[in-house]
Amino acid sequence: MTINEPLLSPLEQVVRNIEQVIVGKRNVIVLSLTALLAKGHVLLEDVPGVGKTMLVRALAKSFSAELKRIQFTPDLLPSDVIGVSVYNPKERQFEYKPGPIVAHIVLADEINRTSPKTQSALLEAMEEGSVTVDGVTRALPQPFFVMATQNPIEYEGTYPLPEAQLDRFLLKLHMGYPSPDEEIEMLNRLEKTAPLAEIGPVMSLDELLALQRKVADVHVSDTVKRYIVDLIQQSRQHEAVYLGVSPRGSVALMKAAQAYAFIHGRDFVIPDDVQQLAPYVLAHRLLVRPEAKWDKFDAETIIGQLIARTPVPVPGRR
Amino acid sequence: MRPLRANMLSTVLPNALAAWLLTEWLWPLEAVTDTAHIGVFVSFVALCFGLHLLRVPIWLSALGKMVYIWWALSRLFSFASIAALPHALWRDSIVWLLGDRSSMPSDALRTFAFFLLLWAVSFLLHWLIVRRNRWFVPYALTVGYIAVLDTFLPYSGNGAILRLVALGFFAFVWLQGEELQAKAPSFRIGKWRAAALFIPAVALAAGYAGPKLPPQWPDPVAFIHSYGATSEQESDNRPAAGVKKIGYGQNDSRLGGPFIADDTVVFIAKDQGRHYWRVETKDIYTGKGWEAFQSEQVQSFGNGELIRYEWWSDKVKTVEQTAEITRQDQAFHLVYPLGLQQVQTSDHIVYRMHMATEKIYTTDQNANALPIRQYMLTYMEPDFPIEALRAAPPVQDPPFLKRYTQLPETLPQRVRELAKQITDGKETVYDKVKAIEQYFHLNGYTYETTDVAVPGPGQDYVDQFLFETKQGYCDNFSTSMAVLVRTLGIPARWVKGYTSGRLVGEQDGQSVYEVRNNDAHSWVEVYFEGIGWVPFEPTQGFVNPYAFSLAASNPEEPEPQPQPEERETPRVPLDQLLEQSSTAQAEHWWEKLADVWSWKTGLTTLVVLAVLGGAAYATRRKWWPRFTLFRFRRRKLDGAAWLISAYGALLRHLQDYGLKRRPHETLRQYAAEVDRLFETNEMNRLTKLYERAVYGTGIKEANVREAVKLWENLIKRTIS
Repeated sequence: MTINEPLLSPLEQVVRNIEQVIVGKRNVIVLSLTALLAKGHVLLEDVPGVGKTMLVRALAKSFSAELKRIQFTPDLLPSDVIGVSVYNPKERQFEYKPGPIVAHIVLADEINRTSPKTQSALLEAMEEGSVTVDGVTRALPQPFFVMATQNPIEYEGTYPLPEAQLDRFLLKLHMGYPSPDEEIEMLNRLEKTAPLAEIGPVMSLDELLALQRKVADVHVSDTVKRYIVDLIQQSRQHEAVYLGVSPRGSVALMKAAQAYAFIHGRDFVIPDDVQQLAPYVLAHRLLVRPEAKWDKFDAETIIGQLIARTPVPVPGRR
Repeated sequence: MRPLRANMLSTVLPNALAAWLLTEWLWPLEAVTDTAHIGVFVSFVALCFGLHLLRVPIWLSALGKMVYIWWALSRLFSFASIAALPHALWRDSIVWLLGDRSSMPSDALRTFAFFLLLWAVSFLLHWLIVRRNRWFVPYALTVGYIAVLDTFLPYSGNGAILRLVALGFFAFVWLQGEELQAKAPSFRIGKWRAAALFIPAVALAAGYAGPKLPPQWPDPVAFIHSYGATSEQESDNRPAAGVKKIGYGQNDSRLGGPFIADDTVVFIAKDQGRHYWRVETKDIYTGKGWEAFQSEQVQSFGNGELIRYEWWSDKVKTVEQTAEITRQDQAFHLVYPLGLQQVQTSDHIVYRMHMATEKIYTTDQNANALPIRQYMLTYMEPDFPIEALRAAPPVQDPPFLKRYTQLPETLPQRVRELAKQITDGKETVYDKVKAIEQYFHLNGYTYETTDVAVPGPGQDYVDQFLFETKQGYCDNFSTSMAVLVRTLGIPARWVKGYTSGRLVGEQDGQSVYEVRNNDAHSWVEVYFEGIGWVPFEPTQGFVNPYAFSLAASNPEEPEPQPQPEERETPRVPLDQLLEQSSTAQAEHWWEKLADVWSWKTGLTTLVVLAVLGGAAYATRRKWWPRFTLFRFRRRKLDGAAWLISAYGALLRHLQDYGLKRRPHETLRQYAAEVDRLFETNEMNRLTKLYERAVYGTGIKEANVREAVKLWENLIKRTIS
């Protein structure tokens, strides 16, 4: 269920561009763009081979942005991510060799495979928008967008991300398997050509930065703010929830809703935006009681209930 | 079978106990208030709980209760017909609600309200005790109520307390047993209950049978009694525990008890003849005293106007006389001789004769009571022909008989037997009545004012006097005679007033009498077919002042007395006589309303209003949206405010149409549903404009015009 509204035309072009590579995942593409425009980051949780990497690469190509990929392994060190200072005998001083994180779009593959130390180096860079090596802080390029992937945590040999770090990600998305028809379409496309190689940029990075600035101007009325807060408050009272959504979650929901409204060509947020985004913004921000999990209560179900329990405020009704 | 039995017991028992608790509130009423016929109310409580128990559908249960109330009120207040009751209740409520609320509503209305109260309380108790198993509050209230009554009022709550303690133990054991059984299903509840009940039963029996010490503390409320004794003047309504002061009082519902003499002069009469002075008659005997018949019929007449009232047939010889009364106090009613024809006074007074009691009130044109001091009376002094009285056949008219031979069901059988015994061998009605009148003179009944008993609870006033105390004053004698006569099926009524008083001198050829409070009196009138009401005097030491003559004239021969034209029926046509005058004489607007609006009109109006309201509600989808269209077309608001308000109205109409927006639905989701139903996209378009107005920063003028169009279309869709 999505909002039945056309996208803003430059962004529609971006989505179409990416859709040439990824079949039948329009919602995920739109949501990724939402995170990008809201200056947030995305956590993709899925099994390997559903097209996570493809999505990021198509995104980067659409903006002709520099893409770097970090494959997280258990032996990866923080310096492998953020870079090191190396002594240059000729210049006789230390020289900073940037790590793979210094890029516009970073694909952090399987971040739950690496040690917490390295994970936190990445997350710190995401939060601050800068890296600090040998006491010198260096700003990361703008725009800066991290798309991390992780395998479902039930798998062997993983270090689950702590809750405090999970909520650094604005949205948590699932790719999911394509439908049979979509999979056939995918095979058709890949039969002779490599679509990724065929697509080109449709928007410059400067244009993207300008759009990011415009997102902040999207109007959020008091009614909608009240609705966001009501929803968050409900999450703290739900019987199956051990720890509710933090105020940082409220901010994230509002920011994401602004971007989502902007993508859909509106300069104001409506409750539909909030309802659409709530599962992706809130699911990784609340802790479900262990006993509730036995009753097949997962975060998505709970958020569905939160939405059903929170009345949409409609002004003008006496 | 066992679970079924247990189940039946556990539904019957709480109902029975709750009904019992409620009746404990009723029994004392007979002793501490002037309420009579408690049995009627107790039966009503039983009926209420019985209907609860049988799980009768609510409409049927309500109908049953209404029928019972109707029946009980008709019987209690002896309404002439079934239909008279709603009329009386309707009129009383209108007059009381719209008019003077400082006065008490009529007895019938109060009783009706009491029934409704019992209805509500029984419902409450049923819910509390049977449904919720909450015993404590009603039980504690009942104990408190009995304790207060027992302490502060002349009511002995011994039996009630005993019953309540038993009930309390029983309920406790019952509830405790259920709780224990709920904890352990194998619990043998029957045996446990038997054992648990045995102990309090033994204790109660021992306590009841055992010797008891007198109260160890002095009565803490003695000062209340002494206070009560000093305010005797106002104590007319008090139960007969205190000492009464003689004089004319309104309330005769509880007779008995001693009185002290009062020599105050009430009025001075200049009169040609010597006779009793009437004030009023009463004709419902309750077992404790007399109540007035409830009737709204009033005859009004002005100064010097002839009263349209047939005292006797022309078989009674009469002589026209005049008298002059000078009241020594303020009075709002007349004292008048039997056979009153007209009244004359200097003021502009309207006399209002209440047909049920024959009491004549003095009022102004607007029915406000006016005191009267001096007035002239013209009356017919009767001479009753004994031959004609002897020849009078028994009365046959059933409603008339029903009213004037009314007796309480509690009247002991021995009273009836005594009446038969006294009149044994007497053939005519007159002889029977005369025998009863004489009975008191010959059988050791004595006149006594101080050592006069009050009937105890469950004791009949007449029975006590006739068989036990045999001493008393006029009320004892007159009531007893009226009751004895009634047991024989002869119509009789009780008359209150004054004796002729003390002759103090002569003036202008007339005798001057002083009538004092001591001269307050009561006597009996018996109705003879073809003659009318004839007074009798049973009280020991008093002589009937009216003349009875033996064959002095031929009863067939018409008397030369001038007879008004309209006299055609010999009997007092109480019920039919002046219905028209009662309607013509309503002075206050609410009384007029009550008269113009009979209960049938009122009920019809209510039904018509309800039907109109229902029709308006049923057809609201046709007219209400049109009204909204009209309303919003006229509204001059800036665009966004108009849209917000109009959109709200549209949502209400759609909801009424059956398209309910669930609270968590966003407007777009709802709009999609609406559009699907109407096969359009107008709601979606309108909603987007509305969103812009509400969640955004405002809308443009062109958008508002579009919104108005969309909105009107949608409203029209809800009409079709």
